[in-house]
Amino acid sequence: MATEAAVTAQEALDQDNIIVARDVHKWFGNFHALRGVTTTVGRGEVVVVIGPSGSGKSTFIRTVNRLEQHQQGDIFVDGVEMTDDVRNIDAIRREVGMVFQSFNLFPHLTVMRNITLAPTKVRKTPMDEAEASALKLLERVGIPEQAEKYPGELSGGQQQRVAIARALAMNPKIMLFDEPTSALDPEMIKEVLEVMKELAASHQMTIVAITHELGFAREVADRIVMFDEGQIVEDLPPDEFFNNPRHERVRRFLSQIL
Amino acid sequence: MRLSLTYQGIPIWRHSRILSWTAQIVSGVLVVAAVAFFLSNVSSAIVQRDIPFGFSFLNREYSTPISEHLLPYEESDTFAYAFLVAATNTLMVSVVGVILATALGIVVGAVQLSGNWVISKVATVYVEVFRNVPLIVQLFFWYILLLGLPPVREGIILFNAIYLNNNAGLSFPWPEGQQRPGLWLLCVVLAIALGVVTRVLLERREERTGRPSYPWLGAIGVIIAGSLVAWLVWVAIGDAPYVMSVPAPEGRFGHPAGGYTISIELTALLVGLIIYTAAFIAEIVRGGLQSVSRGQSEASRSLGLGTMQTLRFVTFPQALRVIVPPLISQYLNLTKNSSLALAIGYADLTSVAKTMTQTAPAVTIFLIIMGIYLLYSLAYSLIGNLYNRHIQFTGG
Ligand SMILES: Nc1ncnc2c1ncn2[C@@H]1O[C@H](COP(=O)(O)OP(=O)(O)OP(=O)(O)O)[C@@H](O)[C@H]1O
Ligand SMILES: [Mg+2]
Repeated sequence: MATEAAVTAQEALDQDNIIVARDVHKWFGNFHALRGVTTTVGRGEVVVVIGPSGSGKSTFIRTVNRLEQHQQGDIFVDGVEMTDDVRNIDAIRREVGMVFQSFNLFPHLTVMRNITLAPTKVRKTPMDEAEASALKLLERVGIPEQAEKYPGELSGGQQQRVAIARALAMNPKIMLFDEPTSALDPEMIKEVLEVMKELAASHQMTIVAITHELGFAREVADRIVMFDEGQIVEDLPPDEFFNNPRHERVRRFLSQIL
Repeated sequence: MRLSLTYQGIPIWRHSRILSWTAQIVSGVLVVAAVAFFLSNVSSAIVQRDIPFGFSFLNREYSTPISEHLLPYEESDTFAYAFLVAATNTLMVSVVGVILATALGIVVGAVQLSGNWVISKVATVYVEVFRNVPLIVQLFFWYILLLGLPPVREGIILFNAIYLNNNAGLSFPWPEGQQRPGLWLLCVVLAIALGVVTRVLLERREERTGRPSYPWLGAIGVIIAGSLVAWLVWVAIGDAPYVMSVPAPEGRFGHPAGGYTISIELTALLVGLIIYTAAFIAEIVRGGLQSVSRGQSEASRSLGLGTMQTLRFVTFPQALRVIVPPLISQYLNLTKNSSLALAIGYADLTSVAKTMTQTAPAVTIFLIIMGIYLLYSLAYSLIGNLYNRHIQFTGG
């Protein structure tokens, strides 16, 4: 939406924008990882983030649920500002689901317990209700028969689908994906992308996904945002992004990964 | 004639299962032969050189004092009973040592990972110093330190209740049984069992209904209420089950009387064993917590679970899996190391056994105490293995 023009305070409070980032900076020690990131994400929008390795993609989406703290600039998520206020952070995290490259399932819990842990402990959902909806989610990601297994007994693709179900169990308004398929064998990438496509098509939630699956981006993204050296260098709908990018850097990057 | 020894169509010298069985049988025979050879040598040496051997001394009177004992002991008691007294002393050192070393070790290990730079450096220095100095040197150090304390009246006195000095040792307040204390303790144990059940039930209810049911609060409430009610019943019937006995200076020399007193030898032994073992336990705890990948706590936090919930449901259960086996081996080490009591003169199993050898067959005595140490080690291992099986999980 508004990358180049500075986002105004008005936009931050605009109910249509679920994520608003204004001139966000982040340093790791002396390393300047985010160098003034400004963007907004509308409710229900599907945004794909791409960019070279080390460009700050992960760092940026991790600031959205405060797995990383930004040091300068403002981030609003669903109208709540990301500050050191612990209550805000917990409130945001309940609304923001995250799927990691390395799945990060809890190995000591069954698939079922992985999914029901947060709803029962955080939302205080009754166990039988939580289990019933966990089963529905497992059906949605296509593996209802794996409920009583442990993560170590599943294939990578199945594990990632459980991780998606686990995040969905909290009914998040936003789903963040950090390269969900890049640790998977080619034949498993497809099954995870199918689940993600179905999510995107349902338009129930906002999705921000870092992925280099350009087919996925072309098919479901509303916008493609490209990071380079800690900044957003391009932000366009897929058609324009692929056919008519404004920056030479995008063309170079696309030629590298295609 | 062509030799055709086959099993399941495979020549037996190439059949993996037959090969492995053969290897087992051959090594078994070799071990038995070696042990038999050794035993026959030892027994013929015993016979030839007339080394006394046998168990008949066990019923004789030991007739030697044991300086400090948990169980009642008189010099007219038998060798067999003296073994029991000494073994109980060692068991007490082991159990007290294990509990306190675990508590200290967990604190130090967790503190090392805390963000607090000063405290974590202090903890690291502690770990490095005490892990790298021989235990016996440390025991002598504590013993000499305690010996250097002033006598009773000028010794260290804390809160007018804890006395530490070079002749009486360490005196501290201790409950003294008054009216059927054992029966009351049984009531407390029952209350604890009830508390555990309450916790489980409330936890289930909380999971089932989603309504907060405060399982820990409920459990602790049940335990306290149960013990208190029993106490009041005791008081109503006659006397409280226990009175707290606080040591107070008495007589011409002002030796503390009342409470419980342990010698400086035992104090030095316990302090030395605890501080030494806790340094190792701290490393185990730190390693265990670090072995759980950052991604685990990140996944948990991103689901909205809080810091304590993350520790309780995600990090700690996984760390425990790594911590328990080496922890048990530290418990075994502490128990075995307690035999260094010999060097500073506390009457543990080993030093009593050593004294016994002056009046009874040494080979038998040492066989017996080896058996007792082995028994203790097996008990710890058994507890550890049961617990480990309980927390183990498939996959991962
Ligand atoms: N915890 C950290 N400490 C120090 N430097 C970090 C940390 N996390 C990330 N960085 C650095 O910040 C920069 C951006 O990292 P980030 O993970 O956001 O990149 P990315 O765009 O996600 O790359 P990739 O495609 O490799 O995942 C990198 O140079 C990285 O080395
Ligand atoms: Mg990344």
